[in-house]
Amino acid sequence: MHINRQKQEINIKIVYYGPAYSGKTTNLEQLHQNLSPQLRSDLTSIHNEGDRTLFFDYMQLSVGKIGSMTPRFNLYTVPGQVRYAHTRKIVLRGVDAVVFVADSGMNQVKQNVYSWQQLHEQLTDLSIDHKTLPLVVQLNKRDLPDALPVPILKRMLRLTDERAVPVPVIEATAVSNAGTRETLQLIIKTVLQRLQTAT
Amino acid sequence: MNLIGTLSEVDLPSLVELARQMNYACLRLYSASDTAVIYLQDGEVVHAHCGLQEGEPALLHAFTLRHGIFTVQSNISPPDYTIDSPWNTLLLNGLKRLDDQAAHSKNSSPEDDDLWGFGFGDDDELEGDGGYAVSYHGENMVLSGSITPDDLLEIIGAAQQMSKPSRLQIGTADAQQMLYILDMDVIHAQVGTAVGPEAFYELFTHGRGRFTLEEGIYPQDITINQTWTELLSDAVAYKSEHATNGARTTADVQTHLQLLAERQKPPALGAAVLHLDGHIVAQYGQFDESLATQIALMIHLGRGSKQNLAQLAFILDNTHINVRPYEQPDQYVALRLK
Repeated sequence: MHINRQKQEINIKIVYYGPAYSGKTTNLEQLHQNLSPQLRSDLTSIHNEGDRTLFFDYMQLSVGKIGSMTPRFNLYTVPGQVRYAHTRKIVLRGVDAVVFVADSGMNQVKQNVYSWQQLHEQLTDLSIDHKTLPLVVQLNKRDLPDALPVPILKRMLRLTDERAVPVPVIEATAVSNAGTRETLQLIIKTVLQRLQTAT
Repeated sequence: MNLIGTLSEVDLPSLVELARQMNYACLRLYSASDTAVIYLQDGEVVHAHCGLQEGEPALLHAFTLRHGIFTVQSNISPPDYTIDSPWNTLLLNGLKRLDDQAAHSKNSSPEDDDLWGFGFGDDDELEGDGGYAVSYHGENMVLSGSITPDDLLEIIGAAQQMSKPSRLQIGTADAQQMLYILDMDVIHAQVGTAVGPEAFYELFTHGRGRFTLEEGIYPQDITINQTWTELLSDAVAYKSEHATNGARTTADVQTHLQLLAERQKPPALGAAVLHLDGHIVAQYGQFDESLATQIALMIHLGRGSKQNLAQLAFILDNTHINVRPYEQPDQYVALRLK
């Protein structure tokens, strides 16, 4: 979190993390498309030839006030492919909150678990306490015919373990903009609660 | 450590390289035409059998199995030692065999290459002499065969490699003995009316019979929240509390013999566990004291000619007999094949 007293701004970094093809970029695209242009910046994306996220997607959002300060939420995605682990770690640096976008598809169990474990490993490497970091899990692609039930997905990620406060879980179908705004609202609410607790 | 996969994705040299990292390892290759079993100890291939072949000929034949599935299981001791060449030599010979086969296939019809094709339809099935069969329901793999408590970890290991949730059902559907596996964890177990960890402990200790492992099935309930490591640790403790020195009961041995007999192709006429003095400890099917006495004599003769008897095959009164050491000292299991 970066506070610019001169500009009266609080910069908050939210990273959308998850396995390849889980819908992280789709989340940001839908938010960009459906939020008022007065509230958000342009969406910056760096894609490779296969139209996959190469480094990250980025969008800034300004909503509300915290006292006299204007919070600016900087939304990032990470590249989901396994080989971009180093890039993901760089994008995670200085993160204030994470949205983990899980793929509900039946055959994505290993990919979800791997990405979830890597998120925790990378947070630990960056000396970020994953037990207190504001975190929301979005179960995306709920429209898939073979989507796993929510309790199974929660068990898969062991969401009831270790954390004093349960991880909020939200269902979504990002491709049709269902649940994307709710996910953003939930992570912003979680961050602001944390901020108020800290101050 | 257990692995399962398809031979079209990983070739035999790569599998052996992987298995060489383990102290003891057993590789099983199941193709439509053959099942090859390869044993490694301390980084070297020490035994192989494939159909009627043993030793290097069996290993060289295994190089030619290009379609089907494989399993790799650690901590399995070789039942025999039939190969003593270093791996590098075996590898060169194996690669030469592949080159020879490729040269031969150029002169064959294109259809020949696909005889062992793995992309078979819903009702097609592969079955090896290890007793496991593989089939597909749509995109979902189904593994089936016979299981004992000793095999359970291997089958769960196969389920843990699957990218989808899976259900392991043991016995008939009426018996309701089942496990559900999600990633590395067992998340639900049911044995009759018992559910949760206790049901898993029961299966871990006594589960045996026909099994079906189906990919793409998840439970309605989640009754196990422990990690796999925690659950396994508890199950081992339970087993040691409820078993008498780990020895099988007579009923267990008889069921085991039945499974062994049924796994043969064609099924064995009979099977028995024999003491070295010739008496029958347990038996299944056609077996009598007279045959047991003759076999004991043959075992003694075999011991005289080969210091570490691991396996013996001979014909008595027009009956093919296979003999291997059993679990207790001075006990052997004999199969009456035909």
